[in-house]
Amino acid sequence: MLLFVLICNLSFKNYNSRIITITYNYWLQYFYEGKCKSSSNQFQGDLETKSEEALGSKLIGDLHFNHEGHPIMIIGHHILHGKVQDLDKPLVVITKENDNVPDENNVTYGVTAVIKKKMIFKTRPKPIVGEMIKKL
Amino acid sequence: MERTLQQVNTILNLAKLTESDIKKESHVLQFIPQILDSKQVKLLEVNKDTLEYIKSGECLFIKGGEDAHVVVCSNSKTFEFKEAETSNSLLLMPSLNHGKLIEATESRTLKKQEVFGVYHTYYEMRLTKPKLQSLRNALAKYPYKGKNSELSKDAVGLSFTELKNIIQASEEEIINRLEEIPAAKIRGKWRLLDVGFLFGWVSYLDSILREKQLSLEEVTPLNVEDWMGLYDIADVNSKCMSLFMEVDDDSLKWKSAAVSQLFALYLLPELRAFDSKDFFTAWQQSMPVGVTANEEDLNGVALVDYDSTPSLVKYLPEFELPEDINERLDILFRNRTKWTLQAITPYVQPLTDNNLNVAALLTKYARSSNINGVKYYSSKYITQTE
Repeated sequence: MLLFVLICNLSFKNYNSRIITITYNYWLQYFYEGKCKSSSNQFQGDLETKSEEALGSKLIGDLHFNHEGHPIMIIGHHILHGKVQDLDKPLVVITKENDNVPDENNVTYGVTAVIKKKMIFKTRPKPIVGEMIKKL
Repeated sequence: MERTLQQVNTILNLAKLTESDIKKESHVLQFIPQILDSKQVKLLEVNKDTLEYIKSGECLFIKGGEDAHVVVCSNSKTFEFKEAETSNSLLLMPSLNHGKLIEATESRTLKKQEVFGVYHTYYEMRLTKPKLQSLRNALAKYPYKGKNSELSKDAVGLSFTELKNIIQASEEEIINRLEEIPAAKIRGKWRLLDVGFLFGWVSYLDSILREKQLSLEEVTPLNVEDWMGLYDIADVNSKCMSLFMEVDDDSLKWKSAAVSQLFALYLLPELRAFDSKDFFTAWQQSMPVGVTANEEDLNGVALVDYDSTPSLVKYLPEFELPEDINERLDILFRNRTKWTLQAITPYVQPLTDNNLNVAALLTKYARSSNINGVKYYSSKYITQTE
């Protein structure tokens, strides 16, 4: 099983730019809620809503760099060898503002960060021999 | 419990690596206590131009339309707004000194690295040509038939702000389209100038010129403004001038094609299909002095059907056709089975975008054939039985 993990390096800045909703339709309802319905053919299948509370403060793994500057990640029983790459197209992180306003037509997002680089990893299974690994 | 360097080194060794294989600084990745909520924080993929636009402080505008269609607009461009799902897990974390910039530290160190959240979805923006027919349709609900025909004391129509709200296009694209179509701002609200009114406007000016035995070339824009100042309000007059005249410094010329088309649009709808001999006669006779009607000017407005007896002229204005390419071509080919490029271009041109020009669109959505060295386009789907 291949598992690609991309770690995206954000750079935070104060951007004045806003993403402002002018007119609203039912698709935007799903956009705001962070869920989607598989019945619409614009979406690519059901999304799992991750239980975000369960991940908080959890350890993920160890990140090392070899002498060529390539990242190596160890997550559980896997070693992941990776590369640092530029994103083909930058990603911007947008954060909802004025959450107290219930009016859907007023939803605004601020631009909080820009992501230009990623570390991309693929797995290779690594056998763990011998003693148990204590993972916190 | 905190993860220790010893634990990290142990795992490293189990992974068949030693500390000499790696740089001295290692990181432990850990989610922050409250990771980012995808309802609140989202990822938007942008191209380089859009990133520069955002960095300059400009805003983007999300506009929902009927059904699920959503666009996002800058000040001058329109993009389709789509959700993309990836099977990868995207972990977000702040900038790390990825490998190259890590200072060669003396001793082996372990640093904590926060991870803000994990994502499987991001949003894409795909540059698109906005469907602006809705603009004309919206304004057509408030036709202007002349200052003396106004029914209400209050201003009717749509303000520019209202237009920006309901039309899924950028401000600049809306403004450009308002200039192209016969729309005018009357008492602060936008409306569509009625065809009958426009016909009357041009005919009135023509009658003044005939009376004074002058041609349009012999008068100045100021003359026209003065004379037409009695006919209607200044903003409407200047819009009509821009629609139907070429103004070069102080000299004027009729825009032949625009005037011919206007007159065809005025004469045809009554009967929908006009006996072509009668039509061409009436058409030419009604023309202002100095304007010759050419059959080519009917391109995009009407079709001449020579196959029927008597031959007919059918009313078929481009702006009444659907904006979906397949729907539009279906109607066009039902009206006429084979089209030359020249005849079909005015109907297809408005549907082109950066990627596909008229020829490319026709290659993709229609079938072409060669008759006596002339290229004709016909329907990909309907087989003609004639």
